[in-house]
Amino acid sequence: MESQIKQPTALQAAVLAEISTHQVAMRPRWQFVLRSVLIGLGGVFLALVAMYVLSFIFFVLYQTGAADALLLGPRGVRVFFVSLPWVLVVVGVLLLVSLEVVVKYTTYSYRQPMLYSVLGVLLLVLLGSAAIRATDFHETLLSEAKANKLPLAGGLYRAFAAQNPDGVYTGTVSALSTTSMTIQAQSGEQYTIVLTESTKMPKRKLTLGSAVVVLAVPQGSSLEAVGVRIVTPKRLPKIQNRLDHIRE
Amino acid sequence: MTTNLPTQESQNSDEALVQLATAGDSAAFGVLVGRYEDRLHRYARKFFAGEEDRQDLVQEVFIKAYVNLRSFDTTRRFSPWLYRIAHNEFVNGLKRQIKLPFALADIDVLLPQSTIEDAQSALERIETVALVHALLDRLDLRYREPLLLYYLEEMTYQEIADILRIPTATVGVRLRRGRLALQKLAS
Repeated sequence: MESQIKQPTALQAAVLAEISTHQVAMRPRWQFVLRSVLIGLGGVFLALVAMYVLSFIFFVLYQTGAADALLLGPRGVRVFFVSLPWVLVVVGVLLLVSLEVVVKYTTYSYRQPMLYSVLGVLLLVLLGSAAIRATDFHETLLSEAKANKLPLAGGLYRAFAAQNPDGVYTGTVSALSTTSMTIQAQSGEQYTIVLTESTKMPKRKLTLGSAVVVLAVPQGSSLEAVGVRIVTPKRLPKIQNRLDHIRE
Repeated sequence: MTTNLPTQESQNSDEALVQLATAGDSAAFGVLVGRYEDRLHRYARKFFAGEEDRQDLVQEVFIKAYVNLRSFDTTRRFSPWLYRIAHNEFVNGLKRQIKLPFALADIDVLLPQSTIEDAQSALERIETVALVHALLDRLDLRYREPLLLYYLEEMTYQEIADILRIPTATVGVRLRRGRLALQKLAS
């Protein structure tokens, strides 16, 4: 059999000539393994960063009261969208897209409709961010940022999470009447907010000591509440309220 | 410089030849080149009219396959792996020549589709193969490739999905639409 030799075609001859003259060389297997490992690690890193960013967006929205404002009528919806950390939202979307590309590149997920892998990636990142939110991770980092003990991410926390959106006030009810209430922010400052018939009041009864998020608009020298939401004291943002309009 | 190729190796499966080639037997790779040369030329013909372009690109496909041969999993079939390289090389070659339309999201790839494979009789298949040979060049590239790979290269839906990196059900959708387009052209 060995003696039966077939004359190569022009293409075979050209390819084999390149191989025999070492113009081309087979890449060693370890390079492919290393590449796969790096892409895999890159995917894990992207997933973790996406989880962090998404959980941080949720944290910012709850911490600043913007998420509560969303439930307080059209003005609240506007406040919510204006105060959304759009830069982080764009970064989050880019991370999700990159993660989807990595998943498509490294797995056989392309055999299924893209919708499934997109939903899978989204679910994974949402679950991961929910797990981070279940801890005090961001709250701890914010405290450290406010105390200037967080060198790298400190600026991020101070820029996004340390201030309420305009018109959103948070604190504990320290005085209450049928027409007004005084809330005390955790920073110690107090401000009085006028309650009117059009104020969207919470379903639960407002009492002294209730932790609240208030959406209010300035009316002359006072603040008029658009809506009030009672929140659990744990959820009460530990932040400095904006006192642009009135300060008691 | 030419190397004579032992016919003994031509008895081996593609995957066995890959194992021999990765172990240093470049003649085994030469056998693979001979085995796929005509098929890849036929595949390239559906992308490029110019003979010179085709020759260069097909040679480039084999060179890339050789360079990356150790990334091939020998428990899988060699031909879809080689065709994947060819597909990338040809699409990139085409992009250098013409501006391909940019599709942000292909709805066929995005959404679930019916996965039922069309059952064709032997006669229907022969007729379709004849249409593919005669009219394929006049079809949109997105239908051209699945039809060519299915009817001329006799690949399965799964293998075509692996080459084109699209959902398996989308292969079926494109084959159905491609056949309809061929019948329309024929009539």
